[in-house]
Amino acid sequence: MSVNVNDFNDILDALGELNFSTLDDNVSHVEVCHSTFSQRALLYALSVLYIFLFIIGLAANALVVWVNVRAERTRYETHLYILNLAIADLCVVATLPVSISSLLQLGHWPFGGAMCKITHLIFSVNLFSSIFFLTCMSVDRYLSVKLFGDTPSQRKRRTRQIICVGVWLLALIAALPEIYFLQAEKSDHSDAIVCKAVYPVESMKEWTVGIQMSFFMLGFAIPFPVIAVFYVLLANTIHPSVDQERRISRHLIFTYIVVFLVCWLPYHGALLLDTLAFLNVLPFNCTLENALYAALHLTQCFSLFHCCANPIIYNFINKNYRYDLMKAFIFKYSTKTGLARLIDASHVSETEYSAVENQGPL
Amino acid sequence: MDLKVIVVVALMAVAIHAPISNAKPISLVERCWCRSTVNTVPQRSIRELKFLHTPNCPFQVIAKLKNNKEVCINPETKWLQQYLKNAINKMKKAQQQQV
Repeated sequence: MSVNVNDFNDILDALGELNFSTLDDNVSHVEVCHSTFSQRALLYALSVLYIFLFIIGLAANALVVWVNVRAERTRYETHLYILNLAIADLCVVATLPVSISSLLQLGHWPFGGAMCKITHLIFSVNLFSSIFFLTCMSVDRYLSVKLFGDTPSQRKRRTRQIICVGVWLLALIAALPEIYFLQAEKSDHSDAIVCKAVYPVESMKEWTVGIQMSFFMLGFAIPFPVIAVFYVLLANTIHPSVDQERRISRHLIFTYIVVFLVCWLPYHGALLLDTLAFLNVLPFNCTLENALYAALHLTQCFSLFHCCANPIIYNFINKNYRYDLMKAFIFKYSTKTGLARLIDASHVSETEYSAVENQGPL
Repeated sequence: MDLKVIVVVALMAVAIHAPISNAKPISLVERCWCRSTVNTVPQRSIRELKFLHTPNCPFQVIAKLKNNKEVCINPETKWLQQYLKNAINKMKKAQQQQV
């Protein structure tokens, strides 16, 4: 006769039913908490969502990187941040196939310890970079309009390059502590090998809370107020008027704030609750435990939709970007037909833009 | 169902250690409520006991103390193992009476 989970469930049910008061008068109540949903179903559903994220995110960000690399000169102020943002988002979604493979095996990690660290490192560094570049863009756009409009463009470009290097370094520093502790280790209670952080036993609580709170602070608590404040300030510099272009700009700025909030607040809210639960600040509750388990998984998946939204709200709905996109394709086409002279970046003008539009129906 | 098997399963479960998890797509799978446990809770301080059986987590025991604090107890704690043995013995006797 083999031992199976059903026996275990029976024991727990029986424990819940026994009258423990006859065993020890001090313990007046016993509660047994079971999972209220299928973990397998949850992880499989998440895998489908991650596959969707991977396909859309890869295509959209690759296109943005390609067009921005091909752009022969800077066409708008924050071009450099947008290129770096797309690279970061591209690298985040590039790690998803590995995660999906593990989820489909219910968390089993067959790829070894080195791959455990590398995958997490790429994921974390690029996720932090993505958020930091969005933050820098909001500050840069406001400062460019309000304070440094007259600064020579060469000097501004140099400053932005330095900021980009700083962002990547900061993201690396933010990601490293957790990566240090990651190991591929046999699960204590199943045959699976899992990729997880193993902290020193004597300071496990401090490390766990410290790292989860650093995710919250660096990933949301600091960036979101900065983004919201600077974009609101920027919107205030655009005076309401009958000008259609200005109204679109204000709506776009509002979109930047809302998309960031909608993607990240649920996840960081769940992460904060999980930390409070871990610290026993929240009393244990069977419903809360099940809800928190599902919520962490779902909100984390949902937060990555940000990697798909960024190419759209920061690129595809920008008129200059659409022009660059058309020019990149037309240039490739015209090279083969000997019409390269028609596309001369140094003489970009509204007239040529209209000319390109006229060729659209071809 | 053989009661001896039940006893063995319960004792094996008690020996399980709590794993550690963090919030990433890959390792979120092993998130558990009890990620650290205490060994020194005296039995007389306990008002309620809660046993958890959730996905990808070991056997977890939460004690609500008389001062209303909640702590996770190390399943290897001697009095807890004895407590479970007593519970199982009582269950065994109850089943024998039904036969």
